[in-house]
Amino acid sequence: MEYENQELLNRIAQGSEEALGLFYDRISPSLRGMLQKILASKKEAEEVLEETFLSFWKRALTARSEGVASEVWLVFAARSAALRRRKLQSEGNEKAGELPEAWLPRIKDISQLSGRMPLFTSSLAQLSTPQRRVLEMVLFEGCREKEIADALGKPAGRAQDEVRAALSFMRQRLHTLMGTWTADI
Amino acid sequence: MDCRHLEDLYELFLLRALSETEETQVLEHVERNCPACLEGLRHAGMMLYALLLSAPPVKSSPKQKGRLLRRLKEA
Repeated sequence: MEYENQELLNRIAQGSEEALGLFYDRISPSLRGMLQKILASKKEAEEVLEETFLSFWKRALTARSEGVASEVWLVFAARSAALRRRKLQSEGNEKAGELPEAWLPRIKDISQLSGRMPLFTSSLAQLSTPQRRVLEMVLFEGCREKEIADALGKPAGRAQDEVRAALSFMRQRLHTLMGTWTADI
Repeated sequence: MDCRHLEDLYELFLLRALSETEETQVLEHVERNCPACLEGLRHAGMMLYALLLSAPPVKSSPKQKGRLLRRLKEA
């Protein structure tokens, strides 16, 4: 039987280990793909995946997250944990990368997005090579704009423009795909 | 509250990629529960969710899933 994500998340909140297993089967390949892009070591990616799912399970049992897309929390928490390992960060605490409930997208928005994700991410190919590179550095290497400029030997303003232009382009693509922005881009 | 000047910053704020000055600008609005900024952050979160999951998928082994489920029971 095929469950919707939300149905699985509701069952996880009620303590269903079976639902967590099904949700794991569904999201872990993409999540692991992200983690392996952040961390060079497959072993570390596996460890972060497991630890993040355990945190997700504990949170699901205690948080009352009505209407919010908890899978987004999971993705950000995994990214943050992986970056902490990558940078061996001493700054910030373990919860530094976790998103508060009020910042999480709504379930209906993520449901609407799900079927359009391949089309949306295919738009990455339309970015220039420098824009794609700086976007990867922000997403998967946890670089701040200043660090990107230093790493690439570019003036700070130039690096900032490339990052923001890339994000702006993808934002407009998303708005178009989601039907909330009608300009012809 | 006018937030138009912050519209380009929400994604970078969630990714913790802004300078301290710009991060503080966004945070000041968010801490006051500015509805436009909260909505902006939700949209930004949605986009980043899709971008972060755009990496090629990697299947985990059944052994790893088994270990996770065992740890759940102990948790």
